[in-house]
Amino acid sequence: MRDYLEDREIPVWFLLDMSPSMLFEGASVSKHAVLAEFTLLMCRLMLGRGNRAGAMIFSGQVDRTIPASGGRRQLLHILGAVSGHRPGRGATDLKAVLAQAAGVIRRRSLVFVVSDFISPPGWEDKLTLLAQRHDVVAVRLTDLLDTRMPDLGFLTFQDAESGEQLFVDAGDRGFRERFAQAADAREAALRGAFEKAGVDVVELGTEDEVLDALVRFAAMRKRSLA
Amino acid sequence: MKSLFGIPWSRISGLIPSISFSWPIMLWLLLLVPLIAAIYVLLLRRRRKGAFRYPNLALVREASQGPGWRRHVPPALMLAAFALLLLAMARPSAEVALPSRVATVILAMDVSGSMRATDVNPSRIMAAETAAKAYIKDQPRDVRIGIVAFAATALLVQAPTTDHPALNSAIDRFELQRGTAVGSGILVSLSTLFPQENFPINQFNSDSAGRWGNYDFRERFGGTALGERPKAPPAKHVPVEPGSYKNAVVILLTDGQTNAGYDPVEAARMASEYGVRVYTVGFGTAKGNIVGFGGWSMRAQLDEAALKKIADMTRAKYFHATSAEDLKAVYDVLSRQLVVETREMEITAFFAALAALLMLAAAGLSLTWFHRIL
Repeated sequence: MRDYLEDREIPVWFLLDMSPSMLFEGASVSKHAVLAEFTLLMCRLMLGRGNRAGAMIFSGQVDRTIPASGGRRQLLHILGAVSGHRPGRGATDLKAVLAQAAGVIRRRSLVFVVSDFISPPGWEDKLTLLAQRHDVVAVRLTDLLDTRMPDLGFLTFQDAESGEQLFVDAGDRGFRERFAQAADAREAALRGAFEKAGVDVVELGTEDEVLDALVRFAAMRKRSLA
Repeated sequence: MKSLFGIPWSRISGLIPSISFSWPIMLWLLLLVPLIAAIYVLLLRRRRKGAFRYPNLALVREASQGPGWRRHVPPALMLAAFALLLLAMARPSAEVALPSRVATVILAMDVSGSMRATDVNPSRIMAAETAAKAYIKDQPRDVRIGIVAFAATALLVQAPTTDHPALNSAIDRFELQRGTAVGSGILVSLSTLFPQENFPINQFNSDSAGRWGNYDFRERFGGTALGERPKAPPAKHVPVEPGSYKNAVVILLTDGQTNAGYDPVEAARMASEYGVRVYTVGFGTAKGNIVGFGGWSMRAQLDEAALKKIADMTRAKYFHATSAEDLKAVYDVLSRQLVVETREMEITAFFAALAALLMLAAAGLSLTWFHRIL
């Protein structure tokens, strides 16, 4: 039997992925901007209802932890941390971050994991563990360029986090098709992992309105209550 | 090196035109080519500053298959174009075979009785006349054409001229006679081309002065005919390379076998010593056929072997025509390729044009593949 935030005042935690991959400006704005907007709206909403809120900002590893607290000052605190954050180097290690979160968040909480979930594999089990103790919502930030590669011609790709470079002929139809297949496979794997962990998923695209996503989220929550 | 991929080297070297350079010192510039290639490789290895920062490189790596060889194609084409331009700076020139126009063409036409035969529509002589007229018409205005008609004897019926109507009327005046003297036809043609030389024409031409039948008084007693100037003792002609005379050619058409006059092979030898090409056209069928007309009946057998020999000796070609259309085609070919001259020509422009083409190809491929000009 689960309790839901709508009924009780439980702490809210934001696990905010601020790794370099989030800075990628693809089809429209960066995922980082979307993350900031989402955090602002959701944090204000929760604090306004009297909930306590905390945040963990991570890139390669956890960069900053803001203990849960209430009040208007906490909102400014968290948002200030988000806007003033300088991303560290290295690939996002979601596994370590989720494990650390499980240690930090003591009380049963509502946990938003806001990330693009681009991370070396192994984090899925940690997410399952976290979801067993907390009410976890995966806020998945997506971009059109994540799944479809336009005909960009010949291009040097550089990994946003590792800096590794790769020469690719994006003008090659075969390449774009293989890319789409690989992206679809990744989508399916992610959905499977979320389902297995039993977490709710909010897909938030860079081209979407964050408010719309919140409304969708609220509707989903209502359905699961009923 | 004896062979390359199993092909004898002698054959390969024949395919490569001999290229020489006016400024060979410029060839040192070709050393820039490997230098540029090396710089290109270095640039490839260097990390790109303007790389596309992408969140999930693993996906891209999964989708990309091996090295994209296509990206190297336009630069390679550009490099080749550059090398060609450097070669062009050395001003290459090559021996190229160019068809050159002949100044004079002698049409030696058989007017023997067998030309009356109607195995060719309407008759051999009519077809030959038509073809000759068409050939004359095709010639540029500045080509002089002479006509020699031969039967048992040979006669210059029209001295070389550019006057086409005169030529046509000369052809219209053809009258068929008995006998075929190919050798005499060649000799008369030669003497037309080299008036100052002394060819043994009179020896067999019955209409010449001082002869009666086969008996040549002058040969026996000396002396000159009335109005004939004493000729200088024949200077020994120094033989030249066969086929080297570029100013004139002889086109000889016959339908029969030599049965009179000078020995054709001997005449051909003379022609070859003067470097004159004698193109021979055999008209009619090689099988001997009986030609009947006006109560006469005669064999008209085409002597292909002799005609081929004449053509070979004078570095010309032999053609065989069995119909009016054939004949027309033969004359068409002849009017195009009579004399081929090898000339040293600077082919710098050719190199430059090739380089330009390569550059265009490089830019085109780059545009279609990568949406940019290099």
